[in-house]
Amino acid sequence: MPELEANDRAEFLQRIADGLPFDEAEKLDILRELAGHLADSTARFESEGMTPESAERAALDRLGPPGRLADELTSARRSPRRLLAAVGAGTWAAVSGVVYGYFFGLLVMFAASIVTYLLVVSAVRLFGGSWGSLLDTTAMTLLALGVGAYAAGLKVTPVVAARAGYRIRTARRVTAVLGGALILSYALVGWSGTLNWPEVGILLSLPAWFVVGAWRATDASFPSRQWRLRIIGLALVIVPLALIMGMSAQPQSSGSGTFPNDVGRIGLPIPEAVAAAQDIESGSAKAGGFVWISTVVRDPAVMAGWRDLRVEAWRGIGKDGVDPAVVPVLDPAARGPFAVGPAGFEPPGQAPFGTWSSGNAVPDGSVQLSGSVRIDRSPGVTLAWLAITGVGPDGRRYIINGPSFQSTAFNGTAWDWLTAVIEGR
Amino acid sequence: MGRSQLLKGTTSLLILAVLREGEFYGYEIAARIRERSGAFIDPGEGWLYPALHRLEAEGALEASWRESGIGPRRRYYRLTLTGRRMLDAEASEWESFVRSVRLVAGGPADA
Repeated sequence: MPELEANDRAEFLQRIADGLPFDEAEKLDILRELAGHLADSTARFESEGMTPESAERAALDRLGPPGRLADELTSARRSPRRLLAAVGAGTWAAVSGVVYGYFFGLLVMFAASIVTYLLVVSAVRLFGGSWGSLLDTTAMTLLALGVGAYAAGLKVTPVVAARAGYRIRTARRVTAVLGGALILSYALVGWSGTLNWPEVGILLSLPAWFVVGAWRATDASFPSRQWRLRIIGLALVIVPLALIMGMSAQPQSSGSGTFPNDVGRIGLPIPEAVAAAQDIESGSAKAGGFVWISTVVRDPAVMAGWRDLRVEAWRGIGKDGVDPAVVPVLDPAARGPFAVGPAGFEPPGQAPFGTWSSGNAVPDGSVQLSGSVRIDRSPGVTLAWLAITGVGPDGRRYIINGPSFQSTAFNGTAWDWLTAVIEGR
Repeated sequence: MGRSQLLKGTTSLLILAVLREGEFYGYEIAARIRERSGAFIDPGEGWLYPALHRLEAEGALEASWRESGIGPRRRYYRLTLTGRRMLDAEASEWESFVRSVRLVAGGPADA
């Protein structure tokens, strides 16, 4: 459809401005140049005897349709240098958007958690009950990062569009895909720490926060009051819900505790001869998600013929649904250990981080049976029952040491989490 | 072939040739082309600014805002070293083209 001609100089320049995807300063530069040209051209026609109206009309006609001129100016000003500048400016806009959004998000989360706290305290006073941990900092941090990703998307698209010389609806396809992919990579393998299901969900939603921001971006000033209010509203709903749904940190505990129910599923009770030969001292240590356990065997001869010695970690739960740290029992649904590590003999006193001693005298000729297992890579496991087991000379598996329990929490990346879920750990 | 089509292929050459003589702003460049060509090349200025901005983006021209002596400040263009090289190359190519066309059309090649 042919473009309608502009009625006067002001409309002509306005339509040029509307058709240019650049930032305000650059637009102004172009408009000032064209306005100067129109003034000169109009003056020339007036000097040739035209009326001011006819002279302006003639000057406008010589420049052609404003929409076409804007398009031609836009494509003329594109260059590889501008693309490079767009990458730089876009990166800076993304970083500043994330930082701004993150701190803004943290502030909102903090306010929302205070609201939740007041609500819960009031409810507890009125109706009784108890309230555990108030804040899970990981969840709060991830939600704030989500706000940061949204702000980055909002900010980066107009900047890239203006610098590269493309319309926002064109630029957002690139920023949404590239930014979304980068953030997805970060969400999958970049973030590492203690995670639970809601946190993995928030982490994996980070690309979506960015894509929504990038897609909704306009050339309006950033950040707008409207989106601030929306984020506050969203946080006031999400944070209390997330807190109330139990995103609290798991209490940490360890010990030998109540002997777990149905322990026979781990192995047969330790044979008398082996039991009599150990227990001078035993120990355990926990570092970097690994648990190391050991026992000293006074007479290594009793272990002759034993094989497949290992440390087993079985999922524990709270008895009758109570906190696992209070009355831990073996999960009746567990069909086998969720993690296994090798165990072996070594001189007494060895430990993963040096040497150790309980102070008990260790007779000459003793050996230490020890091993370690990683227990922080299994989603859904908050308490692990640990035992050293081995296959005796009769071909049956026995519990040689333990079981004892350790609290744990998943620690790793979202990719580790997803892999563990797929592998059924 | 219409004049506007001929103009499309020679836009850069015309602009660069005018700017070899000094620094000018857009309207002046158009006016000089019109005057030098005896008003033969006068199709309107819709082509001029996209061409100027393209040459600037390619590094052939540099632009700066200055007082013009008459009226408001103007955006003056000047040739860069790249622009001078581009002008030499385009002028040489144009000469070869004109000579070839003349040979084909039957006229003397060096007229």
